[in-house]
Amino acid sequence: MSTNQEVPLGQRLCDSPFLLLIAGIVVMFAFYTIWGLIEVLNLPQATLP
Amino acid sequence: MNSISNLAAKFRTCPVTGLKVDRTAENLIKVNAVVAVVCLLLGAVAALLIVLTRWQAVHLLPAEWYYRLLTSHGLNMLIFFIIFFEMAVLYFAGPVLLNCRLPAPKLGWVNFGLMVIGMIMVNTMVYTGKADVTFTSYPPLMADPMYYLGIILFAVGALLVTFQFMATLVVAKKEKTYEGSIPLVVFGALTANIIAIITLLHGALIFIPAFLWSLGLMNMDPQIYRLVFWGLGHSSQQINVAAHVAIWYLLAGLTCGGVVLSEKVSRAAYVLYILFISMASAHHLLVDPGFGPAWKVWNTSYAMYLAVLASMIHGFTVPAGVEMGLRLRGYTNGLFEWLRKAPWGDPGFSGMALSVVIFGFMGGITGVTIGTEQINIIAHNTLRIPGHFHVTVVGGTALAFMAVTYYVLPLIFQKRVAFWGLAKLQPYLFGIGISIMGMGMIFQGIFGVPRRHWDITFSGALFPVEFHPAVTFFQAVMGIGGIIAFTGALAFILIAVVTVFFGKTVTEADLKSGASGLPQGVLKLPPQVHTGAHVVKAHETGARGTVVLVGIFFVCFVLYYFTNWKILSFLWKVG
Repeated sequence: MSTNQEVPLGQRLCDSPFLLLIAGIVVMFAFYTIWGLIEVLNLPQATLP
Repeated sequence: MNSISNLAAKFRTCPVTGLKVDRTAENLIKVNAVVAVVCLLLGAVAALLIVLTRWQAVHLLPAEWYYRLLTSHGLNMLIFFIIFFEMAVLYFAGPVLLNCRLPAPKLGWVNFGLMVIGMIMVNTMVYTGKADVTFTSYPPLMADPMYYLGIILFAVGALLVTFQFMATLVVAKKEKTYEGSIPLVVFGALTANIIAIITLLHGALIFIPAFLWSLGLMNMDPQIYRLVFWGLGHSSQQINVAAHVAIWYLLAGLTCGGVVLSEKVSRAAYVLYILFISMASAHHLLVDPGFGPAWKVWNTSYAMYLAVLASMIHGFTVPAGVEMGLRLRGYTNGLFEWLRKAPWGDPGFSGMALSVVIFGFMGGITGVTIGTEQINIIAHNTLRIPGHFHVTVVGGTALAFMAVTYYVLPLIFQKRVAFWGLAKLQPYLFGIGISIMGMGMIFQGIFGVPRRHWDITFSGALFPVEFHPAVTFFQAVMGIGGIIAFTGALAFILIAVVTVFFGKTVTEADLKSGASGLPQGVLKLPPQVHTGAHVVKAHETGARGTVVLVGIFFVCFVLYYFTNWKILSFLWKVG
């Protein structure tokens, strides 16, 4: 059994800085930025009185 | 032989910690910290003049200069001071704590140069009246193109430092300078680094178009600007949260031998920050009509509360770690002997402790409450918002940064802290001042006083506007608190500048004799004893004192939260 397998999954995930970086970017951009942009871009044109 | 002497020239060994310190990283820590203090001075002077203008009884500045200094204050405090200091934190948490070399050291100087040029460009534009756009620079307000270019250069420099930090992690792992996982403080810095990358990407996404817009090359949609800007504007404050929590853990260990109760729990809380804390940006858009309730509630409540949970975890584990550290040193009597015997005369400890209390009790409770969509309608754009973020960013982050400076000065600059008696008082002066000011602002906001506005008497307006007479009292509270906080900030700047440029160098004799100007964590931290009756007692009782403190916190939280629902019910009376 290699040493790597003895390390718990959670710890291995926390030991992967680039995985954490990607996860952080994806969650923020998906839920805040892109979803927000979709909401704004789909707004109907305001009708003038 | 040559390679050995080259290596020796590249590193020094710290006589206190025994860490191998990369000299380039050390110099970059120094210059970033020095420029951070310069920006703090610019921001603090502007702060005093602003608070003396908002205090209607004084009303110092004309409107034009009020808004100019408001712009300068926001940028120098929220962006330049904080981010320069965070760059110093990244150089410390990377090469120094991981005991490794700094990759691409010349790039570090290029990054620093870009950031300084950007900062100077922005301040020049602001003080020459070419960028009276406040911190947010919402379109259609337009600044000179050089203002946007300055921000872009600053952001590029900072982004490159974050990449350098990631490269440091790779180098340290490859060269096996540490075993197992990175230390918790470095993990905290990694969290801040990731949030910084998310933040700066949003900055690039909005300030490059804003620059082109200012040149007349494209149009700008104000609603899209607001959305993407707050991915920078608010998330930059979440870098602070992750960074100052890392500093709390560092200072808990350095000042009184605080322990980490559970690496697993603390790291999990940091992961929650990475995933969810940046979404708090949506709080600024809660009354914008362009976004639906699902987007608003998901970003500001469901997901965001996971980040709030993370803050509450750190808010428990840091003081509980301090409590256990002190109990393991024999302070096991009653609930609070450890708290009474804590090193309150060490500015590193008092600053950290006040930062935890002000950030948690005042910043946290007010933030979660006004971030609730329904309650936000009575708080949005009132003075409650700056009241909230002054107790989080200033009382929480800036105070933690000041506290750690009392350790950076002897450990990195290798200087004894000047005016040691004043240094012991400074965190109290600053912390109490900012708390009083924050309370004054929050209560004015509850009475409906708007944020940012130069003249709340609205003289010359078509319709008379009157506030509750209590506002006059809370204005004085804000003004007096602001003056005390400014005095505390000035004391810090004086201590830091005199220490760096005229301070006495730390010698081995100073360390042995316990010379003045050296905090107790540097001098004589008592070793932890892991055997004996008091250790058994400490493990049996656990962190009971912190549990009581957390109980008080929850009572305050519930009272403030439901009082706000009651205030909302007055506004939206049915029947």
